[in-house]
Amino acid sequence: MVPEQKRAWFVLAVFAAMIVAVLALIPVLGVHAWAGFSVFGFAGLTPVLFRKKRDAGEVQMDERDRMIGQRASFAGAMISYMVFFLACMGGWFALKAQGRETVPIEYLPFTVFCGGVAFAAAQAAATVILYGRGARDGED
Amino acid sequence: MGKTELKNQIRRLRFDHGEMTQQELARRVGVTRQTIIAIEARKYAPSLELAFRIARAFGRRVEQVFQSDEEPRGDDEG
Repeated sequence: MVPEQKRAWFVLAVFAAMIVAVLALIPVLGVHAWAGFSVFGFAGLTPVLFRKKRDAGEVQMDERDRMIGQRASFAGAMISYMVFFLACMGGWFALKAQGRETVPIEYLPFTVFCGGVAFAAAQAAATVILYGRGARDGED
Repeated sequence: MGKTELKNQIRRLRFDHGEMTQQELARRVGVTRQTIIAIEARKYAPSLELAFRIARAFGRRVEQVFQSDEEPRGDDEG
């Protein structure tokens, strides 16, 4: 498994932990269960946990890794834009249906957060899928 | 436009060259072992530059290592 795959799996694991944390906190904290979203901050440890080895002259990244990285980032950007757009428009429609004419200020950073998390999670998922399609550790 | 599949003789050539490992070939051409595995399994089509490096590692021409699945159209015939 190359370092990019390990990073992607770690981000997906943190994303899953965040969802579990929010769902677990809802019965306890109610609307304040949103605090569980802070678990995603652990994804910031990725560069520290998966540093590239610089020994033995072994190639750490090549043209295929760069291609997968670009495609995964593109997928992440597309999903992020979609989630951000849906959060903006969906929130507006939902509030309008309730007869409210204004959007609460807390809603704005939440939409940005959703977009950011969607980018990281979609990029990680695309990375795992693209590496999985390519090859598994085979025989020599 | 249909997707062109690239057949390759890398696996056979590795064995013809003293059972060269995927890791050794990867080191010689400057890629990761996973990329060699993906190319051998026809899951990844290498760039032209990498294709030439692989061919050179075996001392062959690039068309001796990689072949297209598409049949020649025969435009040059006649």
